[in-house]
Amino acid sequence: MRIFIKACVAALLLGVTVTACDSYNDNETPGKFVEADKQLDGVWQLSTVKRNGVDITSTMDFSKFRLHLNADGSYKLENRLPLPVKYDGVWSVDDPTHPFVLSFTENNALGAVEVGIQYPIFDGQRRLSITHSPGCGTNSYEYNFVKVNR
Amino acid sequence: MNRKLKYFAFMALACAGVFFACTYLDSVNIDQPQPDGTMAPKVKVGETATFTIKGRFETNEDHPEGRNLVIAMLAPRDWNIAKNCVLTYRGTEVVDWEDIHPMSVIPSNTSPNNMSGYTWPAALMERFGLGPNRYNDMEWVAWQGDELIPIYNGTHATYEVTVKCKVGQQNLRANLGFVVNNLGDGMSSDEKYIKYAFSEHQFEVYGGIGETIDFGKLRFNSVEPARAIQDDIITYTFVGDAYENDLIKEPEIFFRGKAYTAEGGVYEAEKLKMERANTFTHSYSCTIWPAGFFNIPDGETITKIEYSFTNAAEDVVVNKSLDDLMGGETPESDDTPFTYTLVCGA
Repeated sequence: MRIFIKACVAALLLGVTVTACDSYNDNETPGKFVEADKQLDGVWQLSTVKRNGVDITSTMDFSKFRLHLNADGSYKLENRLPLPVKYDGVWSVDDPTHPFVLSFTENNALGAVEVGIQYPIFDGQRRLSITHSPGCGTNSYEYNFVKVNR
Repeated sequence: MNRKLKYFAFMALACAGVFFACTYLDSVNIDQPQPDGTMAPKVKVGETATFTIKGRFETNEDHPEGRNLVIAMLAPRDWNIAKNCVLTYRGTEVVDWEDIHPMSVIPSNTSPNNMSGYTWPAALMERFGLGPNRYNDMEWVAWQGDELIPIYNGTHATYEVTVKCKVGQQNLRANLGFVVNNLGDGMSSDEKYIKYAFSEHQFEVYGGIGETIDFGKLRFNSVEPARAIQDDIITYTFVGDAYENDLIKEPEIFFRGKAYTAEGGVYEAEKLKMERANTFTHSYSCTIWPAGFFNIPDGETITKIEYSFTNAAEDVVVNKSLDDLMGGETPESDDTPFTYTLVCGA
């Protein structure tokens, strides 16, 4: 019984100690947070490729592929790889500040092809991530791009 | 206090503990009705096969709140059994034999009670492996009863599980595996509560495109993913340790492939160097985007890729002929390449 009481006291003391620490101090002023730049135009190079959840980046040379998302709204595929589109055309996003869908319309094509995108910041760099199934619908590929100068 | 504590600890453990019935798995039937009226363990690609598992439970405890039946199955990945199989069961004594009880795949975020840290499929593979199969392109999936079955002291109930599976598009022969357990026991090491069986004969899927894969044999080649077309990214692996061969003595190993299109085109690519996975195994792989690798013109579609593994001088070759020969068959020629059919299937 004595041990039990001691344990209770110890637990209480521990609780007091923990809650006494004022480690969280909110000095940020609301509204100060600014949405980071999510501009997608630029030249994108593949950094990692996953097939059905498994990283296959090192198994093939993915380094030469470039996705040019030009500021004028056109796009160009350089050293093409499997993608939902084959030919150059125009691109757009569903929402300029919070884009979740990237649309490609091939030149002379009637309809657009849409892919879901994510744009996390990793190592201080904006990434562009698209998940798509250019071959069989049962296979999914995650392409992660980094912006490069050319 | 100490004694009280011990008593409570014991009670808590007893509550959490697993008491179910001794489980028996009496028979597994994989035979299917054939067009000629006979029964045989085979079915055409894309058709539905029905498997039956029969057994008994014998209990000496009361559990009116019930217990949850678990059935697991090992099958080729090509079947995608989690999606394409429907399981039901019926039983005597504790339930009405006329009632059919549905089962559902155990969610992938749950572990068996006695193999924490593992998902059910991983735990089953760890514990029961591939059975008589030797080709690793198979998976275990576990189902649980949607409802609890009450258990009473002295119950001697029989059960019958019906597994209806729409098989895949790949021609193959494999031994199927089945496990009977209950959710509370969760794969304990006590064999009273868990039983398993592999089909005595191989089950065959026939009538599809491409070669028949015998899962009972080791193979020199493996391909990932199992289903792909020309705009997929495909990895070819030379499994050099499958059987004795001269190619693994070579300093460099290459992939030599030829693509055939539906439009009648035949495209041969330069041989491609394969990378060794690690220094412990003689496994070499290469990954290609077929449309780009074979430089397929616009408007043409690859239907199959023939390939073999070779050395720099191309005078040492591992192909289908050698694979068949080492696997105990008598190949018609010595230069038949492996074939990979490019089709998505159902």
